Amino acid sequence: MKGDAIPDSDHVARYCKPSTIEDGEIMATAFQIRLGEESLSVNWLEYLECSNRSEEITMIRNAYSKKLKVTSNAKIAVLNIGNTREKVMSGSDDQRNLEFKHDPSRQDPSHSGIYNINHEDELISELILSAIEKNNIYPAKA
Amino acid sequence: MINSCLQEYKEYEAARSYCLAYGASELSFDPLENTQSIMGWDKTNTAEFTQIEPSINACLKIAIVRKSGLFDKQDPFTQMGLLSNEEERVKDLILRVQFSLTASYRQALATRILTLFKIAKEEDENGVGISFESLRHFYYFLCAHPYLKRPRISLTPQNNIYASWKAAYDKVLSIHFMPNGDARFVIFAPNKKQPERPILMSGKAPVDILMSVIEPHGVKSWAAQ
Repeated sequence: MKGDAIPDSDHVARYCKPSTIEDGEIMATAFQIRLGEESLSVNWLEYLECSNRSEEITMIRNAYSKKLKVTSNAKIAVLNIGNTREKVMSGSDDQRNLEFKHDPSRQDPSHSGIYNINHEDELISELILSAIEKNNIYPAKA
Repeated sequence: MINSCLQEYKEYEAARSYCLAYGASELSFDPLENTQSIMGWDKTNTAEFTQIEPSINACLKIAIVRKSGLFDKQDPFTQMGLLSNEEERVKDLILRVQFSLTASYRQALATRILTLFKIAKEEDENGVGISFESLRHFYYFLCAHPYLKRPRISLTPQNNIYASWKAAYDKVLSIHFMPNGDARFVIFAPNKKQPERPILMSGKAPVDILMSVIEPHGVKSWAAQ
Protein backbone atom coordinates (compact mmCIF):
# COMPACT_ATOMS: atom_id res chain seq x y z
CA MET A 1 0.00 0.00 0.00
CA LYS A 2 1.19 3.52 -0.77
CA GLY A 3 3.34 4.95 2.00
CA ASP A 4 4.15 1.61 3.60
CA ALA A 5 7.67 1.40 4.99
CA ILE A 6 9.77 -1.27 3.28
CA PRO A 7 11.52 -3.71 5.68
CA ASP A 8 15.27 -3.33 6.24
CA SER A 9 15.87 -6.87 5.02
CA ASP A 10 14.48 -6.04 1.56
CA HIS A 11 16.12 -4.51 -1.50
CA VAL A 12 15.41 -1.70 -3.94
CA ALA A 13 16.71 -1.09 -7.47
CA ARG A 14 17.76 2.33 -8.73
CA TYR A 15 17.96 3.21 -12.42
CA CYS A 16 21.31 4.94 -13.02
CA LYS A 17 21.28 6.97 -16.20
CA PRO A 18 24.37 7.17 -18.42
CA SER A 19 25.25 10.74 -17.41
CA THR A 20 25.91 9.42 -13.89
CA ILE A 21 28.25 6.65 -15.05
CA GLU A 22 31.83 6.68 -16.31
CA ASP A 23 33.51 3.56 -17.70
CA GLY A 24 30.77 1.42 -16.23
CA GLU A 25 31.29 2.85 -12.74
CA ILE A 26 28.30 4.44 -11.08
CA MET A 27 28.91 7.81 -9.45
CA ALA A 28 27.14 9.49 -6.54
CA THR A 29 25.13 11.71 -8.88
CA ALA A 30 22.94 8.66 -9.56
CA PHE A 31 21.58 9.13 -6.03
CA GLN A 32 20.90 12.86 -6.15
CA ILE A 33 17.50 14.44 -6.63
CA ARG A 34 16.34 17.54 -8.45
CA LEU A 35 15.20 20.65 -6.64
CA GLY A 36 11.52 20.16 -5.86
CA GLU A 37 11.61 16.36 -5.91
CA GLU A 38 10.41 14.72 -2.72
CA SER A 39 12.15 11.39 -3.00
CA LEU A 40 14.64 9.31 -4.95
CA SER A 41 12.79 6.97 -7.27
CA VAL A 42 13.45 3.22 -6.82
CA ASN A 43 11.70 -0.15 -7.24
CA TRP A 44 11.01 -2.61 -4.42
CA LEU A 45 12.35 -5.97 -5.54
CA GLU A 46 10.73 -8.32 -2.99
CA TYR A 47 7.33 -6.85 -3.89
CA LEU A 48 7.69 -8.52 -7.28
CA GLU A 49 7.61 -11.96 -5.60
CA CYS A 50 10.12 -13.51 -7.97
CA SER A 51 12.12 -16.58 -7.08
CA ASN A 52 15.51 -15.06 -7.71
CA ARG A 53 17.39 -11.83 -8.44
CA SER A 54 17.69 -12.52 -12.14
CA GLU A 55 13.89 -12.65 -12.51
CA GLU A 56 13.54 -9.48 -10.49
CA ILE A 57 15.97 -7.65 -12.74
CA THR A 58 14.12 -8.83 -15.84
CA MET A 59 10.86 -7.47 -14.43
CA ILE A 60 12.49 -4.19 -13.49
CA ARG A 61 13.91 -3.84 -17.01
CA ASN A 62 10.41 -4.34 -18.38
CA ALA A 63 9.06 -1.66 -16.05
CA TYR A 64 11.79 0.78 -17.12
CA SER A 65 11.21 0.14 -20.81
CA LYS A 66 7.59 1.29 -20.40
CA LYS A 67 8.47 4.66 -18.92
CA LEU A 68 12.10 5.47 -19.76
CA LYS A 69 14.30 5.72 -22.82
CA VAL A 70 16.72 3.06 -21.61
CA THR A 71 20.13 3.04 -23.27
CA SER A 72 22.67 0.25 -23.36
CA ASN A 73 25.12 1.90 -20.96
CA ALA A 74 22.58 2.64 -18.22
CA LYS A 75 22.78 0.52 -15.06
CA ILE A 76 20.61 -0.85 -12.31
CA ALA A 77 22.03 -0.60 -8.79
CA VAL A 78 20.52 -2.82 -6.12
CA LEU A 79 20.60 -1.60 -2.52
CA ASN A 80 19.91 -3.51 0.66
CA ILE A 81 17.72 -1.16 2.68
CA GLY A 82 19.07 -1.92 6.15
CA ASN A 83 22.69 -1.66 5.05
CA THR A 84 22.05 1.63 3.23
CA ARG A 85 20.16 3.16 6.15
CA GLU A 86 22.92 2.16 8.55
CA LYS A 87 25.68 3.59 6.34
CA VAL A 88 23.85 6.90 5.95
CA MET A 89 22.85 7.18 9.59
CA SER A 90 26.35 6.49 10.90
CA GLY A 91 28.12 8.62 8.28
CA SER A 92 26.02 11.77 8.17
CA ASP A 93 26.42 14.71 10.52
CA ASP A 94 22.71 14.76 11.30
CA GLN A 95 22.41 10.96 11.64
CA ARG A 96 20.04 11.01 8.72
CA ASN A 97 17.28 8.44 8.92
CA LEU A 98 16.43 7.53 5.33
CA GLU A 99 12.93 6.21 4.82
CA PHE A 100 12.14 3.68 2.10
CA LYS A 101 8.44 3.79 1.24
CA HIS A 102 6.24 2.02 -1.26
CA ASP A 103 4.84 4.47 -3.82
CA PRO A 104 3.10 2.33 -6.45
CA SER A 105 1.44 3.39 -9.67
CA ARG A 106 -0.78 1.32 -11.97
CA GLN A 107 1.97 1.15 -14.56
CA ASP A 108 4.72 0.46 -12.04
CA PRO A 109 3.34 -1.38 -8.96
CA SER A 110 6.74 -1.88 -7.27
CA HIS A 111 7.67 1.79 -7.54
CA SER A 112 8.96 3.22 -4.27
CA GLY A 113 10.89 6.19 -2.96
CA ILE A 114 13.80 6.99 -0.68
CA TYR A 115 12.73 9.91 1.52
CA ASN A 116 14.64 12.41 3.69
CA ILE A 117 17.03 13.37 0.89
CA ASN A 118 17.54 16.99 -0.14
CA HIS A 119 18.68 18.23 -3.52
CA GLU A 120 22.10 19.34 -2.22
CA ASP A 121 23.00 16.18 -0.32
CA GLU A 122 26.32 15.21 -1.88
CA LEU A 123 27.49 13.43 1.27
CA ILE A 124 24.29 11.39 1.51
CA SER A 125 24.59 10.41 -2.15
CA GLU A 126 28.21 9.30 -1.61
CA LEU A 127 27.15 7.25 1.41
CA ILE A 128 24.38 5.56 -0.56
CA LEU A 129 26.89 4.83 -3.32
CA SER A 130 29.23 3.27 -0.78
CA ALA A 131 26.45 0.89 0.26
CA ILE A 132 26.29 -0.78 -3.16
CA GLU A 133 28.08 -4.07 -3.50
CA LYS A 134 29.86 -4.59 -6.82
CA ASN A 135 27.93 -7.77 -7.57
CA ASN A 136 24.69 -5.86 -7.21
CA ILE A 137 25.03 -3.78 -10.38
CA TYR A 138 23.30 -4.86 -13.60
CA PRO A 139 22.93 -3.50 -17.13
CA ALA A 140 19.60 -1.67 -17.48
CA LYS A 141 19.16 -3.20 -20.90
CA ALA A 142 19.45 -6.94 -21.49
CA MET B 1 35.03 26.31 -35.91
CA ILE B 2 38.09 24.16 -36.66
CA ASN B 3 39.88 27.03 -38.40
CA SER B 4 39.11 29.33 -35.53
CA CYS B 5 40.37 26.76 -33.08
CA LEU B 6 43.59 26.20 -34.99
CA GLN B 7 44.12 29.93 -35.21
CA GLU B 8 43.61 30.18 -31.48
CA TYR B 9 45.98 27.32 -30.85
CA LYS B 10 48.67 28.93 -33.03
CA GLU B 11 48.11 32.16 -31.15
CA TYR B 12 48.48 30.29 -27.90
CA GLU B 13 51.70 28.62 -28.97
CA ALA B 14 53.15 31.93 -30.13
CA ALA B 15 52.17 33.62 -26.89
CA ARG B 16 53.58 30.75 -24.86
CA SER B 17 56.94 30.96 -26.58
CA TYR B 18 56.97 34.69 -26.02
CA CYS B 19 56.20 34.32 -22.34
CA LEU B 20 58.76 31.64 -21.72
CA ALA B 21 61.39 33.77 -23.44
CA TYR B 22 60.77 36.42 -20.80
CA GLY B 23 60.94 33.99 -17.90
CA ALA B 24 57.37 34.64 -16.89
CA SER B 25 56.93 31.16 -15.52
CA GLU B 26 58.13 32.16 -12.06
CA LEU B 27 55.42 34.72 -11.41
CA SER B 28 52.09 34.15 -9.74
CA PHE B 29 48.52 34.35 -10.85
CA ASP B 30 45.05 33.48 -9.66
CA PRO B 31 42.98 32.49 -12.68
CA LEU B 32 39.68 33.18 -10.98
CA GLU B 33 40.56 36.55 -9.51
CA ASN B 34 42.79 38.08 -12.12
CA THR B 35 41.26 37.17 -15.42
CA GLN B 36 40.14 40.75 -15.92
CA SER B 37 43.73 41.90 -15.75
CA ILE B 38 44.71 39.85 -18.75
CA MET B 39 41.66 40.62 -20.83
CA GLY B 40 43.35 43.49 -22.56
CA TRP B 41 46.66 41.70 -22.61
CA ASP B 42 49.08 42.89 -25.22
CA LYS B 43 51.77 40.47 -26.32
CA THR B 44 54.17 43.36 -26.90
CA ASN B 45 53.84 44.55 -23.32
CA THR B 46 55.93 42.37 -21.02
CA ALA B 47 54.74 44.33 -17.99
CA GLU B 48 51.48 42.44 -18.23
CA PHE B 49 53.35 39.28 -17.34
CA THR B 50 54.08 40.53 -13.84
CA GLN B 51 50.61 39.24 -12.98
CA ILE B 52 51.04 35.85 -14.58
CA GLU B 53 52.11 32.72 -12.82
CA PRO B 54 53.76 29.36 -12.59
CA SER B 55 51.04 27.80 -14.56
CA ILE B 56 51.82 30.24 -17.31
CA ASN B 57 50.12 27.98 -19.79
CA ALA B 58 46.86 28.18 -17.91
CA CYS B 59 47.01 31.98 -17.87
CA LEU B 60 47.71 32.25 -21.51
CA LYS B 61 44.86 29.98 -22.28
CA ILE B 62 42.53 32.11 -20.26
CA ALA B 63 43.88 35.23 -21.93
CA ILE B 64 43.19 33.68 -25.29
CA VAL B 65 39.77 32.53 -24.23
CA ARG B 66 39.06 36.08 -23.14
CA LYS B 67 40.36 37.50 -26.39
CA SER B 68 38.19 35.11 -28.35
CA GLY B 69 35.09 36.47 -26.64
CA LEU B 70 34.04 33.18 -25.10
CA PHE B 71 32.80 34.90 -21.99
CA ASP B 72 31.12 37.81 -23.73
CA LYS B 73 27.49 38.03 -22.74
CA GLN B 74 25.01 38.09 -25.58
CA ASP B 75 21.39 39.16 -25.58
CA PRO B 76 19.33 36.32 -26.93
CA PHE B 77 15.78 37.21 -27.89
CA THR B 78 14.26 33.81 -27.27
CA GLN B 79 14.62 30.91 -24.89
CA MET B 80 15.81 28.73 -27.77
CA GLY B 81 18.37 31.38 -28.58
CA LEU B 82 19.51 31.32 -25.01
CA LEU B 83 19.82 27.53 -25.02
CA SER B 84 21.65 27.50 -28.32
CA ASN B 85 24.01 30.19 -27.06
CA GLU B 86 24.71 28.17 -23.90
CA GLU B 87 25.40 25.02 -25.93
CA GLU B 88 27.79 26.84 -28.24
CA ARG B 89 29.64 28.22 -25.25
CA VAL B 90 29.92 24.73 -23.77
CA LYS B 91 31.30 23.37 -27.05
CA ASP B 92 33.81 26.21 -27.22
CA LEU B 93 34.93 25.50 -23.71
CA ILE B 94 35.38 21.80 -24.46
CA LEU B 95 37.73 22.77 -27.28
CA ARG B 96 39.68 24.90 -24.86
CA VAL B 97 39.98 21.97 -22.48
CA GLN B 98 41.36 19.93 -25.36
CA PHE B 99 43.85 22.51 -26.61
CA SER B 100 44.84 24.60 -23.66
CA LEU B 101 44.70 22.62 -20.43
CA THR B 102 48.25 21.77 -19.36
CA ALA B 103 47.35 18.41 -17.85
CA SER B 104 48.43 15.38 -19.85
CA TYR B 105 44.89 14.01 -19.77
CA ARG B 106 43.37 17.00 -21.54
CA GLN B 107 42.43 15.03 -24.67
CA ALA B 108 40.77 12.26 -22.67
CA LEU B 109 38.99 14.78 -20.48
CA ALA B 110 37.69 16.77 -23.44
CA THR B 111 36.41 13.56 -24.99
CA ARG B 112 34.69 12.62 -21.76
CA ILE B 113 33.03 16.04 -21.41
CA LEU B 114 31.86 15.91 -25.01
CA THR B 115 30.45 12.42 -24.44
CA LEU B 116 28.67 13.64 -21.33
CA PHE B 117 27.25 16.58 -23.27
CA LYS B 118 25.87 14.26 -25.95
CA ILE B 119 24.46 11.85 -23.36
CA ALA B 120 22.78 14.70 -21.49
CA LYS B 121 21.22 15.98 -24.71
CA GLU B 122 19.93 12.48 -25.43
CA GLU B 123 18.47 12.26 -21.93
CA ASP B 124 16.81 15.66 -22.28
CA GLU B 125 16.92 17.12 -25.75
CA ASN B 126 15.46 20.43 -24.56
CA GLY B 127 17.97 20.78 -21.74
CA VAL B 128 21.28 22.62 -21.76
CA GLY B 129 23.37 19.46 -21.80
CA ILE B 130 26.00 20.77 -19.42
CA SER B 131 25.78 23.97 -17.40
CA PHE B 132 28.31 26.32 -18.97
CA GLU B 133 29.07 28.16 -15.73
CA SER B 134 29.63 24.92 -13.84
CA LEU B 135 31.97 23.67 -16.57
CA ARG B 136 33.80 27.01 -16.60
CA HIS B 137 34.52 26.81 -12.87
CA PHE B 138 35.64 23.19 -13.23
CA TYR B 139 38.00 24.23 -16.02
CA TYR B 140 39.46 27.05 -13.93
CA PHE B 141 39.93 24.67 -11.02
CA LEU B 142 41.95 22.27 -13.19
CA CYS B 143 43.94 25.18 -14.66
CA ALA B 144 44.83 26.33 -11.17
CA HIS B 145 45.73 22.81 -10.00
CA PRO B 146 47.38 21.06 -12.95
CA TYR B 147 49.00 18.45 -10.69
CA LEU B 148 45.66 16.75 -10.04
CA LYS B 149 44.93 13.38 -11.59
CA ARG B 150 42.15 13.11 -14.12
CA PRO B 151 38.91 12.92 -12.19
CA ARG B 152 35.92 10.83 -13.09
CA ILE B 153 33.12 13.18 -14.02
CA SER B 154 29.37 12.92 -14.22
CA LEU B 155 26.43 15.30 -14.23
CA THR B 156 24.22 16.26 -11.31
CA PRO B 157 20.45 16.49 -11.85
CA GLN B 158 21.03 20.21 -12.46
CA ASN B 159 23.48 19.36 -15.28
CA ASN B 160 26.42 20.61 -13.25
CA ILE B 161 29.85 18.99 -13.30
CA TYR B 162 30.52 16.53 -10.48
CA ALA B 163 34.15 15.44 -10.33
CA SER B 164 35.46 12.60 -8.24
CA TRP B 165 38.92 11.36 -7.33
CA LYS B 166 38.60 7.97 -5.70
CA ALA B 167 41.50 5.68 -4.80
CA ALA B 168 39.84 3.51 -2.15
CA TYR B 169 36.74 3.44 0.05
CA ASP B 170 38.54 5.78 2.45
CA LYS B 171 40.22 7.97 -0.17
CA VAL B 172 37.48 9.90 -1.92
CA LEU B 173 37.30 13.52 -2.99
CA SER B 174 34.17 14.60 -4.83
CA ILE B 175 33.36 18.14 -5.91
CA HIS B 176 30.11 19.56 -7.24
CA PHE B 177 30.94 22.67 -9.27
CA MET B 178 27.97 24.98 -9.00
CA PRO B 179 27.24 27.70 -11.55
CA ASN B 180 27.61 30.52 -9.03
CA GLY B 181 31.29 29.75 -8.40
CA ASP B 182 30.81 27.78 -5.21
CA ALA B 183 31.81 24.17 -4.87
CA ARG B 184 30.27 21.58 -2.58
CA PHE B 185 32.72 18.88 -1.62
CA VAL B 186 32.76 15.48 0.07
CA ILE B 187 35.88 13.86 1.50
CA PHE B 188 36.34 10.30 2.78
CA ALA B 189 39.80 10.26 4.37
CA PRO B 190 41.73 7.43 6.04
CA ASN B 191 41.38 6.97 9.79
CA LYS B 192 44.65 5.49 11.04
CA LYS B 193 43.27 4.41 14.41
CA GLN B 194 40.09 2.83 13.05
CA PRO B 195 40.64 2.04 9.36
CA GLU B 196 37.12 0.60 9.02
CA ARG B 197 35.66 3.99 9.95
CA PRO B 198 36.97 6.61 7.48
CA ILE B 199 36.82 10.28 8.38
CA LEU B 200 33.88 11.81 6.51
CA MET B 201 33.40 15.48 5.87
CA SER B 202 31.56 17.77 3.52
CA GLY B 203 31.25 21.49 2.98
CA LYS B 204 31.03 24.38 0.59
CA ALA B 205 33.63 26.91 -0.50
CA PRO B 206 34.25 29.25 -3.43
CA VAL B 207 36.16 27.40 -6.15
CA ASP B 208 39.12 29.80 -6.04
CA ILE B 209 39.93 28.95 -2.40
CA LEU B 210 38.61 25.40 -2.42
CA MET B 211 42.01 23.69 -2.50
CA SER B 212 43.21 25.62 0.55
CA VAL B 213 40.11 24.39 2.40
CA ILE B 214 40.40 20.71 1.45
CA GLU B 215 44.18 20.30 1.26
CA PRO B 216 44.67 19.99 5.05
CA HIS B 217 42.64 16.79 4.90
CA GLY B 218 45.30 15.09 2.80
CA VAL B 219 43.38 14.90 -0.46
CA LYS B 220 46.51 15.45 -2.53
CA SER B 221 47.89 12.10 -1.35
CA TRP B 222 45.41 10.36 -3.65
CA ALA B 223 44.06 13.08 -5.97
CA ALA B 224 47.41 14.47 -7.11
CA GLN B 225 49.76 12.82 -9.58
